[in-house]
Formats: sequence, C-alpha cells, structure tokens
Amino acid sequence: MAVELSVRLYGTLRERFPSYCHSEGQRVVLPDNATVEDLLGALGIARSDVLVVSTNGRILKADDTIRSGDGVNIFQSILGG
Amino acid sequence: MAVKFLRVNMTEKRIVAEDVPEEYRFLGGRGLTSIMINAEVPPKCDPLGPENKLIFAPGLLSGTPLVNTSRISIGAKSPLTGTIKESNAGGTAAADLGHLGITAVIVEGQAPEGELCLLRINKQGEAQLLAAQDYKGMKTYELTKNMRSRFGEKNSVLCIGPAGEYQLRSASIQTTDVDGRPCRAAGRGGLGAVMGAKGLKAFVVEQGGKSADAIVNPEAFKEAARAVAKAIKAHPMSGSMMPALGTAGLVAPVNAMGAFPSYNARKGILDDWEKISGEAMAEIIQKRGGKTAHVGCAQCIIHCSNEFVDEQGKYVTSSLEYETIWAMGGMTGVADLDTIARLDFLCDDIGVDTMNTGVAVAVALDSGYRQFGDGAAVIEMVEEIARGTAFGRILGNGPVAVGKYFNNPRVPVVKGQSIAAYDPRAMQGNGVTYATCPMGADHTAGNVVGEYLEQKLDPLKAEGQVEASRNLQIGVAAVDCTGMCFMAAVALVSGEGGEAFLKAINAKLGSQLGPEDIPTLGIRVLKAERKFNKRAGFTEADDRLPQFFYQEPLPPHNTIFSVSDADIDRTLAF
Ligand code: SF4
Repeated sequence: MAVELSVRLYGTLRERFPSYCHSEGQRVVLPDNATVEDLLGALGIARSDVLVVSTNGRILKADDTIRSGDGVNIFQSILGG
Repeated sequence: MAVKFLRVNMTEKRIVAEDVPEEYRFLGGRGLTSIMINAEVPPKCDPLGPENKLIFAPGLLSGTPLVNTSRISIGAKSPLTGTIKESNAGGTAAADLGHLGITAVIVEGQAPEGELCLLRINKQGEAQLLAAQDYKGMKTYELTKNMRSRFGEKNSVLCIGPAGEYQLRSASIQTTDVDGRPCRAAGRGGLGAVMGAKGLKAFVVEQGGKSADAIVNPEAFKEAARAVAKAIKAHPMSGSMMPALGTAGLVAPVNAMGAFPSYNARKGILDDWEKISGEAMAEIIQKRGGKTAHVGCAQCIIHCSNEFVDEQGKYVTSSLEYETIWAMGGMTGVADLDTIARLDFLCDDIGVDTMNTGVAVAVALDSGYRQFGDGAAVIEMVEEIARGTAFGRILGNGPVAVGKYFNNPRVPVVKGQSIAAYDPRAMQGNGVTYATCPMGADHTAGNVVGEYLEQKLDPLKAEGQVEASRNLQIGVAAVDCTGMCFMAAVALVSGEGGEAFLKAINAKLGSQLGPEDIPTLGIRVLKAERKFNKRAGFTEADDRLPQFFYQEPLPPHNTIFSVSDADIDRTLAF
C-alpha cells in the first residue's frame, strides 16, 4: 500500500513548483513506512534549506514515518522576528 | 573628534555636551542605556516625573559603513512595567547620530506641564531646543511631514503622537524609515509616555554628519565588513526568507506548531490563519502593486520590510510585521489583512505599541465588550485612543488597565507588558523568557522559536528551556549593544559570520575581544538591568506568568506552562 499525501508548502518553497496550487497542496505518493527524509527526497528539496516538516501541530524529525491522511506542511526555519 | 554625550535638560532648557567617560567607552545601544539608567536614575522614581531619564543611544557600530547597523536603543524606567526598559527601533536615526559622533542623547528633567519642545541637531552637531506648541496633539505622520518641510527632507525624526502626550502606558516613540515615514517604532514599555512627560514632542536629527568616531583599524574593518555582508546574504533566513515574506513568514510555522496565541490566548491556532499568513500578505501586496522586499532601515541589505497598499494601490502602512499581525489579528480573531494593516497604521499614527494595544483589545473582547473577529469594532476602539475618551485612555494604558476595568483575570502580561506571538504553553522556553526578561514579557529578548523549528528542543516539555532562554537572552543583550539588526544577527552568531562580526567590532574599537567576551558583555548588561529592578522593589515573585498559563490547557496540545518556579529563578541568577 502506498501513502498518499497532499503537502502544503510555505516560505519560498512554492516558487520551486510552478503548478503548485495552495488550496489543493502538492500531491505526493510515497511507499509504505516512508519517512520525512523520503518525502523531501520525493519532492526534490534539499535539507540544506533548514526545512521543517509538521503534521498535527508537531514538528517531525527526519526519520519520523509519515502516515496516509496526515496533513503535512513544509516550512523554512525562522529564528524570530 | 571625540565621541560625546549630549545632556538635554528639559527643566532648564539647557544642552550640554560631555566627553564619554572611560567606563562607557566600549558601550553602545542597550548596554549603554541600561548601565547608565542603573547608575543615574533613582529606581523608585516616578517614571513620568523629572527624575527619570530618557536615553537615545545608537549601537556601537551605528554610523560605520557596516551593513544593517541601524538600530537605535531608547531606554528609561518604564511607566508600563516599572522596570528598567530598553526598546530599540530601526530606521535612519541611529546612523545619523553615529555620523555625528554622538554616543547618547540623555533627556533629563521635565518641561512645565503643558509645554512642548522639539530637539533638533543639525549636521554640524549643534543642538537646539525649540518651542513645539504648534504641534500639540498632532499625529505622527502629519508631524513628520511638518518636520521635514520645516527642516528639510534629509532629517530623521523620532517623535510621539497623541498617546505620548496623554502619557498612556502603551505609548510608543515612532521613528522614520528610509522613505521618511514614522513607521518604525520603539514600541515597547511606554517610552512615548516618558517622552511626553518630559515635554519633548519630537527629536529631529539632520542626516549627513561628518564627525563620526574614527574607525581604529580601517583596512581590517573594510575586510570584515565585506565578510559580514557575505554571511548575511548566504544565510537562508536573512538571505531569502526575510526579503520574500518578512517576519510575517512566522505566521505559518507558529500556527502549525499550535503556539499562535489566538482569541486572547484561548487557542493555539487561529481558525483562518492562512488568510493572514506572510505568504498571503506577499501575494496581496504584489497583486495590488505594493512593495515586498522593501528597505526599511539605513544600510540594510536584507529588506524585510514591505509597503502594504489598498485595492486601489494606495499606501496603507509599512511594514506589516509578524507581531502586529498576531496582536491585531490572532488575538482579536480578525483574520483580515486589510483591517490589520489599517490598525497598524492607526497605532503608528497615534503612537502606541501595536502589541500591547492588540492584546489590550483582545482582553476587552474576551470580557464581552465586543465580539472576537469584529474588525470594524476593533478599529473604532483603537481610534478612541487618539480621541482621548475615557475608554480610549483605558485601552491605551494596556492590557492590565483593561483587565482591571472589566474585572477579567485573563490578562496575558508579565510585569504589565503583553506577551508576544508565541504561547508559553506551546513554546515553554518563550515562557521562560517572558517570566525572566528584565523588561517584562518580550519577543526579542530570547526567542526560542528557532530551537523548536530546528528540532533542537521539544517545545512542550520543561526540559532544556531554561538553558535555551538564558543563552539567547545573553546573546541578544550583547547584540543589542552593537546596533546590528536581529535579522542580520542570525547570520553572525557563529562560523565565518560570527568571526567577521567580531573582527569588525575589534577593528572599529581597536579592541582585542574574543568570542568569550560576547557573553560576558551580555551578562554585564543583564546584571545591571536586574540590579535596577531589584532596587526598584522587584523580586523573584514578579518573575511569573499569569495564573491562567499554569492552569488552562491550550488547544490543540492541551498543555499548560510547566517550567517550575525554582527553574525559572535560576535562569538569570548570575
Ligand atoms: S532587515 Fe528589516 S528591520 Fe532589519 S535593517 Fe533591514 S528593513 Fe530594518
């Protein structure tokens, strides 16, 4: 079984996906038990941007597994304002 | 030419220039204001009386060619918190004072009641007190226009609006940006009321002074300055996030973490936060022909500012920032950027802190005065501050005054000053900073958000929060001495950027400071601030959050603030 996700992008990440539509999110299909690392790989986004992946109000670590139906958001880190 | 202090006595209308005494020689910005206030202001004095002093101090590096060194620190005993206070702002004034070799302008005494003056320094460094009766009651945009047509476009203005004249506890000191608009604020702590109490309506500095303190080692400075600029451009936050979205880029991640205090801190996520996110803001501004990546302050290479325009493309406000979007939008439940932008303009024009005022409004809404989300009602409420009505004065005195009026204990403040846009129940370290910061609850003094986003720390657990808050508070206290903007400082804390920054400081001063001297400076500043507060009568019992943060779980995580009092008390126990 594959994991189907609709990923919402924030910060300057949207610019990298010309067809991105925020109300629908970016569709990604991942193998079962895929991790945050796999997700970023599938999207082709490098982690050097200090990316932050969150779901259900929690920040995920690189090796956390992503489950089907999770609302996944990807941000860039900001240290304050 | 030697650097100098200007002492401006408002009682006697006398201005005296002094050489900077040796003990202040390596201090600037917050370090200078705080150490001087601790030395010269009686801690138990009336903050709105003649014994208080209002000190304007550019950073150590302001006025040098180093990029992003545009912060001016303004310090006094605060009428809002009763503590020592430093509030800093960007714009152009810090560089101008630096170009004149002025290390601090110290406003002392008090003009007779009802009398208003303005202080003008020309580019030869000559200072004068002039009558300002004609500007009585004037709002800051009109006042600034008047100042610039009277003295010329090439003048920076620091001023108060009606709120400062009324001596309201949320009154700000507004200062001009590179376009000459009074949209940059030393908002926190009611310093506008201190300026109003002194009888000083405006402080105007001419640009283009040529008597800056010499750079001891100009070649080394030049080289270090280049490396500093390179590091700022290379850092993902200062190099790309800030120009794209500004600080408003925080709306999305903080809501996603469930830490965006909403509806007077009843929830950690605002229902319609996507409508007021930095991404939404940038899209609206671009569609309407406003400006993103706008330069707000002198010598800025980051451009975190913006110009928000209405549907016709007409200027509404600059710069719409994260904390304002939160206070005026999240706390009030008004998920509409047009309303928030209007409120931001109103606050700047009236001269009140957007944060303290947004939270004061939220406490009123929470008490049933109007409905959460009713933008028109919020605008009316804020307009009352300018009119000086009874309710307007209560609102302009901040959340505590409003809470008392409505008998509502849900007042999110520490030492009388509103919290910022991070709920301490979902970002425990920010709670530690709110509780212990000598200025009252503060968003710049030690913001732990980066540690959470970068997964260095679990935001919901008590472990590690005290250390994180302490380290940041020390670092920020040191950076606040330099005039360097926070957005740039993030690229200069370690690595090549950190090294270059230290080299620039040493080249400027002819000093031999090493990396270990930075925290030493931060601790020295914090110690002076805490000493002042102690002598003013503050104790550990004041370093606490309001009760409801310890009792009311915050959705969605349903956590309470759980750092123990004993741990809080060791945060800054140097
Ligand atoms: S980054 Fe923003 S606050 Fe900092 S100097 Fe530039 S415009 Fe001013």
